[in-house]
Amino acid sequence: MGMLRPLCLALLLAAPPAFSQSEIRYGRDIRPILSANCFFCHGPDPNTREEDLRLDIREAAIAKRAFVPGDAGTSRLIRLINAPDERDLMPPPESHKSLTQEQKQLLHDWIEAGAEYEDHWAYIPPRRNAGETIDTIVARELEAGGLTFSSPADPATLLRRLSFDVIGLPPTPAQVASFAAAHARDPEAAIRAAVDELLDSPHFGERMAISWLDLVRYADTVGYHGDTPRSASPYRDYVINAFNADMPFDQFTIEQLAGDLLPDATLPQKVAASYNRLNQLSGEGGIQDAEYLAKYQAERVRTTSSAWLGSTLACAECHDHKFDPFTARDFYAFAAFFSDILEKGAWNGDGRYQEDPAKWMNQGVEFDNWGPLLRVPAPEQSERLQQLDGDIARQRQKLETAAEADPQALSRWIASQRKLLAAGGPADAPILDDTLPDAARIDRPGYVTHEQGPVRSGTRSRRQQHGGLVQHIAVLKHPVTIREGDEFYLWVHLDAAKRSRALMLQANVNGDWSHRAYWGEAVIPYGKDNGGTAYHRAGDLPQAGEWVRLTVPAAAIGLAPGSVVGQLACTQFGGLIHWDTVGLHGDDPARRLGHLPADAIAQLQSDEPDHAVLAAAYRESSPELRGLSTRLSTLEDERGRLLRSLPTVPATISAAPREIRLLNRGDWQDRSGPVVLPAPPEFLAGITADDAASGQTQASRLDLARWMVDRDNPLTARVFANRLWAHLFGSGLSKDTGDFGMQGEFPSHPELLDWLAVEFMENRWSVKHLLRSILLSRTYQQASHPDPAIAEADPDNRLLTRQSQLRLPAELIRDNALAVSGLLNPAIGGASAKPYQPAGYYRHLNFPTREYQPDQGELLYRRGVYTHWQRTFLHPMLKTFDAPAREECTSERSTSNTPLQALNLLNDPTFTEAARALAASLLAEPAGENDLAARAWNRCLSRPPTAEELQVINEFHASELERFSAAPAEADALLAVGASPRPPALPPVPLAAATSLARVLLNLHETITRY
Amino acid sequence: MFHPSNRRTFLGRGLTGLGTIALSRLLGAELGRGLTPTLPPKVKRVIFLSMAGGPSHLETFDYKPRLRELNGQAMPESFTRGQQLAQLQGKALNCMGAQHDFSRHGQSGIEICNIFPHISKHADKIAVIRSMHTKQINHDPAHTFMNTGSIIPGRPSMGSWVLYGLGSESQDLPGFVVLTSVGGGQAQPISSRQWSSGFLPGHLQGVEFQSAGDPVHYVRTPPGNSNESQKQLIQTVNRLNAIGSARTRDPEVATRIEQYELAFRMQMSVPELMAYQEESQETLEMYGCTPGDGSFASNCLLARRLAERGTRFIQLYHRGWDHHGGIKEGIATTAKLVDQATGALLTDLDRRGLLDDTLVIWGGEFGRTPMAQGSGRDHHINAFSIFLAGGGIKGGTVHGETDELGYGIVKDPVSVHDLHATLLHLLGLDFERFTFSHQGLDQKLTGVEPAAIIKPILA
Repeated sequence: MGMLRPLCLALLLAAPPAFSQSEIRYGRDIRPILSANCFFCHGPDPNTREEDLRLDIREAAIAKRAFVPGDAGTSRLIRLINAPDERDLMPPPESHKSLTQEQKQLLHDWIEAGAEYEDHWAYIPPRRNAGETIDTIVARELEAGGLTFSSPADPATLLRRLSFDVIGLPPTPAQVASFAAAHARDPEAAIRAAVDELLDSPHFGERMAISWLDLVRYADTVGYHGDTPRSASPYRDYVINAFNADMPFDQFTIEQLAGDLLPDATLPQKVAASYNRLNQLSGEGGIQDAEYLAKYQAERVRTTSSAWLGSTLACAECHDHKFDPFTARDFYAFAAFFSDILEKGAWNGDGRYQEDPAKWMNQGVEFDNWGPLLRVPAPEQSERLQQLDGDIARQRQKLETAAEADPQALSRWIASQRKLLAAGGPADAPILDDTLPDAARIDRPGYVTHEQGPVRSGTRSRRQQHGGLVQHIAVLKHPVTIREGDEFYLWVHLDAAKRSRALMLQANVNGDWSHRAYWGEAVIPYGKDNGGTAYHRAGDLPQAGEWVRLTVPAAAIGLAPGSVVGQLACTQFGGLIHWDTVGLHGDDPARRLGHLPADAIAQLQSDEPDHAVLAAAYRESSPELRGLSTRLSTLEDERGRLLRSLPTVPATISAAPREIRLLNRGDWQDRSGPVVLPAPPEFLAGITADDAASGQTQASRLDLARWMVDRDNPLTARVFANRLWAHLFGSGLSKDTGDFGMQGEFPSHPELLDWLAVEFMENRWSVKHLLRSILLSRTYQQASHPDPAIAEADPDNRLLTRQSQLRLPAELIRDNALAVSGLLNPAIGGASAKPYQPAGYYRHLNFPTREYQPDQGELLYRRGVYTHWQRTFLHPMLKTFDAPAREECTSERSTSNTPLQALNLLNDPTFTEAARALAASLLAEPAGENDLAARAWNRCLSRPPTAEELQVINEFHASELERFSAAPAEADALLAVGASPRPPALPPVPLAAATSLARVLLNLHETITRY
Repeated sequence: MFHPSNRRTFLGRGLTGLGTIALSRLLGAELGRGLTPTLPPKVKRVIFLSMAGGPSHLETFDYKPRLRELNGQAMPESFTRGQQLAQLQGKALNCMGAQHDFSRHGQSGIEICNIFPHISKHADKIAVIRSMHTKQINHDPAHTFMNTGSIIPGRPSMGSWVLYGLGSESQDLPGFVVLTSVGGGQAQPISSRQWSSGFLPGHLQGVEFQSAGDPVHYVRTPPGNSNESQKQLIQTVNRLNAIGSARTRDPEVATRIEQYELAFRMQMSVPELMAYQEESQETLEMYGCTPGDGSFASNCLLARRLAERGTRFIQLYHRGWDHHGGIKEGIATTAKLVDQATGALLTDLDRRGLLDDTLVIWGGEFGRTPMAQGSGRDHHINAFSIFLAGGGIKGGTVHGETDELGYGIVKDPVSVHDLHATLLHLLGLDFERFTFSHQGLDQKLTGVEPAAIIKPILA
């Protein structure tokens, strides 16, 4: 890789020495004060800098006599922060910022001690001391604070915690019991075995995918304006599979940012690169292409820099960063990495690709309304495709051999076709019909077979139904030339009940559609204003309920002899019409062979025909070989159908890069800024355009990806390790997992964060390895309920005196209810699922308006990670439990505690149904109603109830039994909730009471919390 | 009649051994906490009537006789050169005069379009701003900017900010409620991002009341259950949660218990909120609605009922002002759906003594071009009109002025940030100090750009 230069950081030289808590550290103690209070006016951004003084660079501050190292007394800074006169005071009162006495003292002491600066911790590559472990580092800090580890969590709590953290599902009571037994024999071995088993589970990838999908803003809709669906589920499955396979994180990074650019890229690598196109898109009418390109490019910078670098590069869109050394130029240079992605800004018909997409279309790349896409077969689909390809090749072979085997038959066929050609008199020649050689094209939605509706010719007709205007347009593979006296004929079948008001045939000559004949009322607007041959009334609507042949002379719709018709449109207003053959009736003998390709007709007319062409035409159309060719076309049909049914993902295609300019103040209309080439943030250095060695003209996404996972990149490994820590402890070692800049938090345990980052990189960026290292630590395995004294000494658990108590993420709250009730569908991957949702929730969506159709059967019980992610109207349950809309990179979810959550768990049919299924599964067990409450409790909470708890829940259960006995209809009403069948053998009253009991359990705070 | 105090304590009474105090309070949780206003507040709540789609200022509050004189003639190029347009970009630009007449109203003589006869009656109570401008020319981002002060999705909406600052006054209902209606013009989609709490805590997000079915998602007790049985169930949940918290020492449990109590109160009070039969025939006629029919008028009535019950921020969207074509009939139709109820809401709030401590804002996300787009008008961001009424507002005021064609602002421009600053100011929040730390910045509703309170419209 020629374009990557080792990271040349002057910053790197200092290895972090060990510091004790009491020493003043610039990074931990001083910079946060300066950054929050001073840098806005005396920092990196020249636009807001006052007095030409900057305090973020030591030499600059000393040169401007801001302070004298070692002498706080004569330092101007100390004088001004203590100024009695408001006019002199720093920070000035109008800034609404002020320093505490403690902060003033720190600044004083620091200057006294020599005012040493430190490079920002996050920009120094991580290093670690030999011989340390997670626990030794944590223990050292605990000891310094006079504290100790909490006791280890009890086995049941630990297994429950591990299960939720690693696979996102609760352990079964049997698993808890067997773990507890093993734990009693040998705790360490038991834990190790449990961790290994969980990490090997295929549900591991699902659990890990949740936060990754938040970061990369994965969703199932485009987000802006109409927020229409756009399939991307193969990308989601790629992420799940990658975590399951423990794909090294460096490879994971490279594939997502630039999988399409890898040599001989595999399909999964190309799917991974869809990351680049998961951004929100707009197709709103009237938007400007350039404006939205600017929006997309800025979003990619925000998401990529936040997801991988934990950096708020976003701030540099309009100006140099106020606190971090990112410049506006950095922002646009970063954006330029993505300028090769083939896309438009406005997806409303007005936008333009940077390069003619025909290039890729001709290579077979499919495009839809939102650009290029990939079709991604599931494993079983892949298998079937291969099978079909083999069968098709064999069938073709058979056909060719058969044709060659009987040369007589071919001669006979040629003679018969020539006879047809020579015969005089007018005849019908179909133009549009499924019996024609290229008819496979009309095997698609809208076309019905004999079983589904009336068909006149061949095996299919076009079914068209609508309340208003509706049409289908056919682009003719072989355009037809009009001859003197030609008339169009068309076969239509009008429905007797669903009446249409008009139907119309339109012909397109050289792009001009103004050749129209209509039958019935003048309600179709096309051409109405023009009249004449552009709106020719050919008659009344025909008889309904049967096939009718309608005709209209070509001359009546303005088609002179010689006109070449390239397209036809069949339009109707209202009702239901089946459309079959459209053709021309006339005296052109060649057209009678219209079912043959034009070149074959030419050969038949020639004195020295090309027999290869005729043999090919014979194979396609001869009645003798029809059996074979029908079988072939059946196979090809199936292949076509299968291909079209494959799930799709937006494709990232590398085209000629667009020119990227620095946009002054982020204004997309201002084209006066300089052109910038792709480069990572300058102060982090690495790639420059001039050292292109591999013949590329500029650095690529692949260069960016490789730079990100370069061993010397100080951010990527730390950012990921910190997020993994937050996954397991609820909070990062540096608290703001999305900001490793100056305004981010100095890590509570910088050595630990570095240890994790180095461990990660030195073990081939293995996520499972890093996770296992933490899971097996004493730190992770501590109990989470704090001793009151410890809680007071370490209120926010910054010293890691205990584990954290974490409410489950939205998806897991759903999964847990489905799992304990036995409803869960454990399938991995596939199209996004649509569980129940309140009616009418999508009524504010438009273009088009839509109504939510929940799935049926097993699909209703898929895990939360598969829920259809509608960006503007996220499923209410996910939203209520703080899942983000994924419009942009989300680094952290908030954890709210609201009445809507209570209403959701209490009344959402998903949870009521889960309660019923849980009750039914318990009652169906051999123990039946014995110890029902205790068994239910154990199922939901992985522990038995205490005597007090048992009493409370039994009292409630008894009162519900009484209630339902008195009103059995109420029992039936409750049990009717949900689509899953209710076991007929169970009597309703006990089942309903047990359902109420289960509802209580599913609503407990402990049920939705991991301790 | 409504007795919130009874409801608030019944759960406590039901708990064995815990006396009459709600369990959550024993466990030390406190809901509805807000910051103390730093300034003397003029109002307690906001009703924001969001006229979604972009109402034409030229057919509402900004009369331009010169534009009528030039009707059909080319728009002077000096106005439009280099400007961003939406669908008119690159098209021929011709002037289009006001499609409806204007008249002067009240003592103040404010000119208001004749399609707003009911709002006109309040001319002396409202302050019209004719010099609003915005940055975003398409609906979705323009709403985002109007609601959050930023064009980047993921920022908190103003309702969430206000709730964060002041908490809720209602013990039984959400503090930030959104209602929507359609009619009269193309209904552009509206995203739930518009009432998102962004990076603020999730409980501050707006709760959308549904116009059909249950007004709040999952507010209905499952079949086979009564209020009484649901109460029993919630009490059991809360008792078990309390027992469990002794073991886990989880401080979140107290809040959870409180939320279940609030959830139950919501289940009880939402039907009461919708009990429109309490409304007199005269009131219903004044609004001109069948209650609960999902119309803007019905939503205005509900807004008043929410205001009475202490909801802090009530936002009504009427999606029907996007008149790209047929504006003459279209805007008259939309106005008819909105005008009477807006007038009724002002009257109703006033006669119940609520207008003095309520801020009512009426306006869209942008205006519309003085140039014709066929028989309609395109989006316009350089100038548009809104009005404010209620506590702290100097009625009968007109602020700001556009040029003779209503294209640009010639006097006292007002930015979205200025509007936000003013709104916060009236609520007693100092917009410069009212911040939330996120991603290393002290984030403000008014953003990083300068903002100023619109003093001339304040009483």
